[in-house]
Amino acid sequence: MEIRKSILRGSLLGALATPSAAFADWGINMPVGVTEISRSVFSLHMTIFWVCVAIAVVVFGVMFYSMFHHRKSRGAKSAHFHENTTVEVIWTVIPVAILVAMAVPSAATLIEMYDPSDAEIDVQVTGYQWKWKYDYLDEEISFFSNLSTPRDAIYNAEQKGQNYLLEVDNHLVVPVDTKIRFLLTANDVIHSWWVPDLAVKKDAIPGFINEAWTIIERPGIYRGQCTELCGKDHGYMPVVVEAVSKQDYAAWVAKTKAEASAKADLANKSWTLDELMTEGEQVYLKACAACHQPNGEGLPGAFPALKNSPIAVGDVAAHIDIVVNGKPGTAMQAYKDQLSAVEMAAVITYERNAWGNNTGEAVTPSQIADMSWDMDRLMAVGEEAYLKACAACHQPNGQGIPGAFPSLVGTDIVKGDIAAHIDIVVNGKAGSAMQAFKDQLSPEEIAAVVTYERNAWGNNVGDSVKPSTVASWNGGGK
Amino acid sequence: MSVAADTKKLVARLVLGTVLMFGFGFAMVPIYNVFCEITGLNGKITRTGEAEEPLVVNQDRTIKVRFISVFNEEMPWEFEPLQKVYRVNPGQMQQTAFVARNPTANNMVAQAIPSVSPSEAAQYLQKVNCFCFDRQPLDAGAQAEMPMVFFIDPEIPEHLDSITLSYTLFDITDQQQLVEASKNNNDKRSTL
Amino acid sequence: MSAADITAEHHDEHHDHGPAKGFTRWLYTTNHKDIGSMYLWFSLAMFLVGGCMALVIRAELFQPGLQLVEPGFFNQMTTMHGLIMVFGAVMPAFVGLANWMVPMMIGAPDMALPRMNNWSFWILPFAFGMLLLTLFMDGGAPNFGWTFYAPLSTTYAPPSVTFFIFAVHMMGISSIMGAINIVATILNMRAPGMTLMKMPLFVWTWLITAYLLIAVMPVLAGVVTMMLMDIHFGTSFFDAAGGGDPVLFQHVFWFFGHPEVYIMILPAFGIVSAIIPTFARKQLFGYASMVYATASIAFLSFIVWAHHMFTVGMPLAGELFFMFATMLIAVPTGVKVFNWIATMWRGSMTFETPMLFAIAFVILFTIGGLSGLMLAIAPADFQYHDTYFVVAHFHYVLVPGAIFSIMAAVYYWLPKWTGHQLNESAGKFHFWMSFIGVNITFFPMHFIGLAGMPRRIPDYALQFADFNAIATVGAFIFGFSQLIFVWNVIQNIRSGKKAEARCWEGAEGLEWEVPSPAPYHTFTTPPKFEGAK
Repeated sequence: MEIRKSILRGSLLGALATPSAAFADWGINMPVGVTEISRSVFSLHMTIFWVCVAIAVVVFGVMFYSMFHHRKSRGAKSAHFHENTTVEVIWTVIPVAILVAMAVPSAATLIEMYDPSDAEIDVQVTGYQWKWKYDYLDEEISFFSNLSTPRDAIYNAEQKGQNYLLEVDNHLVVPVDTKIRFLLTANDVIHSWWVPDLAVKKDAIPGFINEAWTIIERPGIYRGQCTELCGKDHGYMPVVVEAVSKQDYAAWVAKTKAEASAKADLANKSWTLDELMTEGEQVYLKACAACHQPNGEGLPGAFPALKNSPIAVGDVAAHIDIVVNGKPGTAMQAYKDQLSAVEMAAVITYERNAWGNNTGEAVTPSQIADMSWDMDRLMAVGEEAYLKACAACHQPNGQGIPGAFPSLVGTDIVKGDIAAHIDIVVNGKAGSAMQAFKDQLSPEEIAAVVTYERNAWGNNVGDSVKPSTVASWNGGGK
Repeated sequence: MSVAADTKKLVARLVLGTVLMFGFGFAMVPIYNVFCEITGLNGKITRTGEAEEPLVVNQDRTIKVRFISVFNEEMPWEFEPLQKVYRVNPGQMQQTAFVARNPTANNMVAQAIPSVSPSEAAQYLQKVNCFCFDRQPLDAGAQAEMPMVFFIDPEIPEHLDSITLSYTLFDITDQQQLVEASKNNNDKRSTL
Repeated sequence: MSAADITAEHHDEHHDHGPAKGFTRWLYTTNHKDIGSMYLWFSLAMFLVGGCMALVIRAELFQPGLQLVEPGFFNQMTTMHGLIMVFGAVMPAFVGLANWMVPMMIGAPDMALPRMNNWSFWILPFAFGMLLLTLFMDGGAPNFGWTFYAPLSTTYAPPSVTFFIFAVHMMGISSIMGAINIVATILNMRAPGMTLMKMPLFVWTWLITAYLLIAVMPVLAGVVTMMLMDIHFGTSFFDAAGGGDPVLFQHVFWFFGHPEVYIMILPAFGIVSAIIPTFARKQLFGYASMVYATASIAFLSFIVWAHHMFTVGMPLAGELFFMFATMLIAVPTGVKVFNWIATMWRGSMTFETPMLFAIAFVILFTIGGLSGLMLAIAPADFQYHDTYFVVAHFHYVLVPGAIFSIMAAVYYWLPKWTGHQLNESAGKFHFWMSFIGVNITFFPMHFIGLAGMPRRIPDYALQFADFNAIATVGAFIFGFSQLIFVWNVIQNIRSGKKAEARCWEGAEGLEWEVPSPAPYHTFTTPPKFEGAK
């Protein structure tokens, strides 16, 4: 196709400049990149660069010669010519010719970039103030990607790492040799998504969808940044693409989906007794029956029975505690490190209702989760989450920025109705820059951060929030 | 003519020019919209309504149509299409629906803004009926199913084989309350 | 002649004894020389203010990490630096030069509309005073970039945005009135015998610039009015929720914005076209060609605006059109550069301060123009857009471009204004410090842009550190060197050897026929003009 030939021509021109590709390492030139498009772009760039250098050499050469030779101090006498149509025509036509020559490979590469044909993977990229969200549209995988450089490094209190300002908590993982389409939009203002090694830069515009595509040839980590002024932390929302082999990608997809569904299970508030019993029986047989026996009767003298036992039909909290934390000095282990909260809730529910125990009680996963969250843990995790997700606007000292971001010290929100406080963190405040953090922070983190805000900086309200409250928050009231 | 008179005439013309250019700045708004409508260039869907002629279905091609929902500024509704990806033949009528749910404790009004990518495909995606640009109210906890029927114009060029239609949901409860306060309008349900 | 009738009336009022005394002289003056001086002093003050903001920016960028300012304030600095330099320093300086020189160059006694001239100036201190005071508001000064894209500048803007809009309106009215004045003056008040194709090129470039101003400043007024309506009156020009489009903002803004950058450079072309022939002692090469080239640039400037928007998601046809049109605009610009060099060729050159600045302009503006050509290549622009490569490009065309031409013009015409010869060694000292400083500051920005550093960020990844440090050093050198300029100007006003009417040996033109310093009223009787340019 003519287009391919033009790219070839342009690439050949650029190939003359291939030694300059080495300059890329010195940090003074554009990277060659890891896609066919990025290589075409690099060669276009080098071609036009050398054309400009050549023009400059000729033009400045003539100028400097003249400045040296046609000086009055050298005795030069000024000539009298002051127009020449032929020469005007020549130095109009030659630049036009050079430009036309440049325009052909440029148009060819641009046309290639605008290829709208179908892609294997669609990723929706949404720009937020000040982070990116990635949705793998065919995989139901969705996550935020935040800058992970610590504040202390930014404020010069600690050493800056090698990838300072170009590192994130969650990479955009994609397979090599696969056409990936990016569908870009934004949540608030205009952002722009750029990865130099892919030569992909496209604006993310609220209310609209843009598209870009790439086929990455080499596994690796490719870093970029937001390239449209989007507010305060425009410089603090990097892009990190991790290209892996197709097998590794498939494995990553499976793992991520499993983790996501485990998290979802926990937040799922509609566990019926039957569901818990079914799950619980599986867990019991897997993790408890070895000692307590499938029929719950245990082994007298060695392992206590659970059928009709005071533990299983008595105080729920004590039952939960012994499963979660074990019983020191006995063979009863702490299962909090071996079973998920869902599994523990299910097995306790099972034990309380099987073999004729029939308490009718159900224990939910969130009750289990809540157990390990005492005030100390809430404040510690809360402070960490606050610094990560809130301090950018509300400041580490909670005082905000007058006229831009409200203070949290002694103000109504943090000292008043706790439900309103939880709601504004979970659901955000429409029409303001206060985002809904329910998709960005876990229920544990939100519970912790609200607790922290209510008690830090002298607020000392004294109350706290349990993760289960946040997990079941439906946006405004029970 | 005297210089003074000449100057007066010239200045009058230049002032008129200034005013016309100010007007042109505002005229750029409808010009932009018309330009986009005619060329379908900025991905705003403009074709709605019944097909003009009976449609001939092209069985030899399949176009992938993907629906995306975007929630502006954490608009708290749930809003999903019944099916996210359709493979249709050009000319084939396809029925789908979007389910919207307001999980909050407040009555709200939303606006769904569509956008198509690639933008040149916008003019070939025709919706027989649609709920976009309509103000959609939902009471607290309520749910609505909004059907949509669309087809791809059989004239669609060969090189287009994948279209993405995104709906961005905006919370316009506040603006609606202002409008209603001043106009005393009733709720407008989407056309079905 | 009618012009003499008008000036005779003026004389009846002024009793022909020179300017009024006291502060009110400046408040009420309708004299083009007074008003020109006020514009120039105002522009110098704004240049120093904008320059301080640049030094705040460069000081923060000296090292990675945040040392001096918070990101929010940094964004205010970059925004205000741009607004002040574009609208407060460069444009008023060119208007000041036009006010001083155009009437004298065409043999007119004053501008066509002297009282409107006074209003045009006095709006500016109020507009910029208000803009600068927003730094002290809650929420701070405008922080959305001098290009103020919606919705960052509408829905997400600080309260000061309303004052920003007001200031832009005021400043726009000032520019439009000034432009109308210039067109009327040039078209109607030339001395008999001075046909259009015999005007000095500075007059031609200002005539064309004035038309550009009249065409696009109202569009800027329109776009900020639409912003105002979106922010305060519930409209949705740029708000997707209401059916609007943020990209529409960019189209309307850049429809103004691109001609605006030519507004900021065409007068510079005129200045250089006056200075080089003088110091080469040779007539400008290709006068007619220069006029046509300027007119072509002005015309083409209306159809290239979207090259500022290549990454916005425009359809392919649009991208191709704007790429080709932008590449085309390099041609008439190149023609002008060749004509200047042809003027120098086989001339008899001396290198006084104005000539040094003019030559530096040709070289460094050409470098800026060539990086502009690189930016025009749309697929490559995907890697350059919104990086320091763009910052390098526009600073090259604006600083050693527009600003150097203004300094060249000031050094060139100061002896005419003050009656004192230049202190050459002082001028040359300023020149070399500025030349070195400007290149140390802006040349490395090409590299960090190519290496991947975005614009408008207060902090950056470690691989950009070295060149940022170098750029900062250069910025401080350049910045402090401008104090030499201030000193030079003040010194020249107060002292110096007496200057002749024809201050420079090779100078041609009506302004060199009047004494130095130029009398308060010149060409009250129109001169007979025979010379061809």
